[in-house]
Amino acid sequence: MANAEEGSAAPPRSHRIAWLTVTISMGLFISLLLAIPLAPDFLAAASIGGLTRGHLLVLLIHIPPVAAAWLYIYKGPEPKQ
Amino acid sequence: MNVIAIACFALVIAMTLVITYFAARRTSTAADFYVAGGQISGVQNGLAIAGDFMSAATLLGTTAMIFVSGFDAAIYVCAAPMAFVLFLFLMADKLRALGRFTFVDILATRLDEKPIRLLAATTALVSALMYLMVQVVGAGALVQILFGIDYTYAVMIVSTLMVLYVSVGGMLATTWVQITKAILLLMGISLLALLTLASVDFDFTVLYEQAAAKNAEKGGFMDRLVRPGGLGLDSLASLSLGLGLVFGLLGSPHLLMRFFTVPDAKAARMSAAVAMTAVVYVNLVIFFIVGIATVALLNGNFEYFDADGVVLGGENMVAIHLARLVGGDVFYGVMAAVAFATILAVVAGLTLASASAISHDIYARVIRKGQASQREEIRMFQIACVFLGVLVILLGIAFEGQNVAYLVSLALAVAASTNFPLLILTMYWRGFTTQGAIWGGLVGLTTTISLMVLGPAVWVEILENEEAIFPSGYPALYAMVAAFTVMIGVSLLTKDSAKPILQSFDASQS
Repeated sequence: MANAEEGSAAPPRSHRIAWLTVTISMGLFISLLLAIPLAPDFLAAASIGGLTRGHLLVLLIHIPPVAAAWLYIYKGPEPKQ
Repeated sequence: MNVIAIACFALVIAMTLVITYFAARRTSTAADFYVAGGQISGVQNGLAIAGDFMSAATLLGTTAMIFVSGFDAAIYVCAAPMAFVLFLFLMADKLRALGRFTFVDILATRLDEKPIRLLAATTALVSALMYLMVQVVGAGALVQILFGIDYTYAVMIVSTLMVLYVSVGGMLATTWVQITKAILLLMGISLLALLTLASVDFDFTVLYEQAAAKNAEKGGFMDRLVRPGGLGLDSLASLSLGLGLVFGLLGSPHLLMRFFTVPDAKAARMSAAVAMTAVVYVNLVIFFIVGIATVALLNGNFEYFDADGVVLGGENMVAIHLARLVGGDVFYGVMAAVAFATILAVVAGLTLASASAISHDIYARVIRKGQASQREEIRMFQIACVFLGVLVILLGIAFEGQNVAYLVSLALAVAASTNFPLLILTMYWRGFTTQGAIWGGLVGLTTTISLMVLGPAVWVEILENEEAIFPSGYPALYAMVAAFTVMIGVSLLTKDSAKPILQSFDASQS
């Protein structure tokens, strides 16, 4: 979005990855909000590393956006001053 | 009364007063009072935002929620990274580029100044004041429990300190109080997690097995730590709560204002990333270690429960009790002081945002039509701080012992359904008009308050009616949809009136 404003032809790959990560995380967050009342058994089922699917989802909502944020800081487009 | 807790409490107050003294020597202009002259670095501001955001609700409330409701606390925990990542990607650059002292300045850049300032300053004041009141009532109760000080005196101490920091040291003092608190909290929560893990020989499995066993005993039939449902939400309530938290944070005046304290958009981005990293770290430690440990280690330990099986001092004290269990009286004192510092930093940020809405948006820009001198504006800012301090003491005493927790969701719902749509449409939609903003803002505000009054928290619990007219206790989603619909609809109907204002906005951006 920021790149479109700056008139460049295509956003850099890192910028697209950062946006995609954020979009997926937002989707996961909304899925979590819906799954808590609608699919509690699904969230309670065991997943990898001794975690439940619910706990894994919480990690996925937290860690990738932080990585995306730092990717955006160091590899994202220059802000418009 | 714990002597170490009192000593740490005195040390925290002394540190913050020293900060205020030095900040006051560097604070003289209106820009200094509101935004520390725009000279805070990105990393400093990020820590200050983390300090501003992580209230006692984060440290004590989330842990208590995991202890009582189990996995459903994930809704509160996960809202924070979503809000901060949206701050970074959607708002940080534009906030810094367009804002001056308050977020209302951004709206006034392209919409008709007088009505939009009156509306937005009112919604900012309403949401910040509600939040402030909850913090002060909670602070009074907490300081009473932690340090054995009478509730009334506790409220007076917290209010006096908050007025002192903000009215004397302005944004610079507030910033450093928030940075100090953020560092104390990061260190405190890390040490609590380490000591907790050491008590089970750093074996997560032991901790989780103990927690599951205790939870099964308590719940009788299911393990709430892994199986959602502890809050009893339906899908709409869950969505409304989660999205209300995210967009409420994005519309919170005290957080928005922090983005005006940095010199440029790059530093604003850095602020959001640093704040997000700090908040995510604290959230994950609480969710995966501290919260689980309260269930595993405190349950069945009669030292921390009264004869009726109720947690001593209430469930909000479980994190502090855990500190005593794993670290003894010294660590208990340290964590109690961290909790106190947490409260001070948040109330300072909220007071600053509320006082700015009064002195800058209403007094200087609307009443004095931009003709107030810098000295007059600063004087009004200081008067507003004192007024807010007195108001908060009176309200705090009046609401002693009352359950005011619903005001937090109301404050965030007001921010989500008024401040956030006003800001995002101003920033991203060229067709947004003053009429759309005014009508949509009014609809957002009135819908939120009406639905909250008609909902179970007020209609049943306070007004003692049998059944709520509006069944959900979480109005944010409904009010947001109503506000956005009216803002967009009225703007489309009045799009011709937008042109001159839009041209001036575009000119200011080129």
